[in-house]
Amino acid sequence: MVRAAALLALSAGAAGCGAPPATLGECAALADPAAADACALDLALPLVDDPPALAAALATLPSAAARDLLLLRLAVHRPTRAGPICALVETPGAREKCQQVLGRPHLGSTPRPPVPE
Amino acid sequence: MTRLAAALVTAAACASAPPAPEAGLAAWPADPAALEAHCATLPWPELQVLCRVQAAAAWAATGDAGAAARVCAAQPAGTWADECAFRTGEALAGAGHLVPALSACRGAGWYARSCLTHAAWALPRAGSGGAPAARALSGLVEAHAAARDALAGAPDGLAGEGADIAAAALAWGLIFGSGHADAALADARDPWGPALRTAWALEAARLCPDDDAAGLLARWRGEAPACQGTPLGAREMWGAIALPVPLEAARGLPHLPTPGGGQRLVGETATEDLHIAILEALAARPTPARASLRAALDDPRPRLRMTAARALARGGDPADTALLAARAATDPALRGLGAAPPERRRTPAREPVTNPMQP
Repeated sequence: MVRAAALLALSAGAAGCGAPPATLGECAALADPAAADACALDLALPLVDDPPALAAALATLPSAAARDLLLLRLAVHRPTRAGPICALVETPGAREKCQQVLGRPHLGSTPRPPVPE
Repeated sequence: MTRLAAALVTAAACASAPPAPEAGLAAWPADPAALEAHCATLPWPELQVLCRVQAAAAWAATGDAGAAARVCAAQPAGTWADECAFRTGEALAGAGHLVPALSACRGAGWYARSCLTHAAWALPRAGSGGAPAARALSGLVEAHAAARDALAGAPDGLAGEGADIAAAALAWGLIFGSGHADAALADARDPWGPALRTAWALEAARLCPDDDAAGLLARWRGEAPACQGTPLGAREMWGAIALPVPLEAARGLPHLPTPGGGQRLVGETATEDLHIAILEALAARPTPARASLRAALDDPRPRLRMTAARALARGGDPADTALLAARAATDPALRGLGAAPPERRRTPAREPVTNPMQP
């Protein structure tokens, strides 16, 4: 009985049946927070170079905070694209944190490796 | 379902409750220890990365290089670890800790060179404290030796370049902003001569805003009183940054780092170098002394002509632009004027980073 209950509990955190999430909104609906975060990042990262597509995908998220949080995470993953990414944020908190990337121009350029001696 | 099973279901549901996104966007603590602790509680690794950069900088601003290094050690290798070291180096230098700042910059990977520049020029200017020239210079030598030791063995030419920048910044901090353009302090032999002359010329140009090149030269020679006036705050900046000379003829010539990450040509003799330093200082003024710069275009010494031309070109005055175009057509030293600055790095471009979180 206990094992069955544990299985029930675990399955409650699963993504559910059917196709994998196709929108950010569907990612957000996943019960497992880690899976939801990974899902959102997987879907959004390829859209970073296409701001209109990214904006459209973000529109499926339920709140400005959810959208901004994802944008902030994207800016950390792709600091060279932080300009267009951070242009989409809506909340003061996200704007302030975006400044940590935007305010550092070297992060926006393609880095070059040091030359070994 | 038994009570235990129900409790398990409830526990699992609670454990999987997603953190509210607002938690990631809330303001972070300012206190370094509180901020460091807060970083560890953030449920998103990307926000932890950003948070740690800020926490390291906050620790460094207190002078605690060890705490800053501890925070940065938790960063994923690559862009954000380098940025963490970069911010640490800048903040340590801003708090007056040059040697640990340079050590931090050594760890800044791709950003090490920029870090060294930012750190050196972020140092609060120390001034001479009224010490006689010999004692002030021995203090410089000591500080520079410590900086050189901190960079010894650094790859990619960083050791030499970093030590040069540190020397220039230390010399600048001795005179500039002090409120007294003391030529006795600046009249030093190489290797300190060019940096001290830069510092003196900038301070003299600031304190004697109506002097032209001849006027400043007279003050250097003691033919007119030394320029004196209001000191600047230890971090207060003044003047335009001297950008690299974008001329073919300037390539390969010795350059000196100048305030804020600029550079200027070094003269072949101490006298020529003083004249270059004065031209640079006149160009750095909020309103550059154009007449002196234009006159220097007729100087027989090519390095002076290059310095003057670069400064006039930056001003963008149509009359100067026309004058420079005519000179560039006939003066080999000015060939290429207006072209893009030469590539300062000698390394090939790296492929774009796609995921600095997972290098």
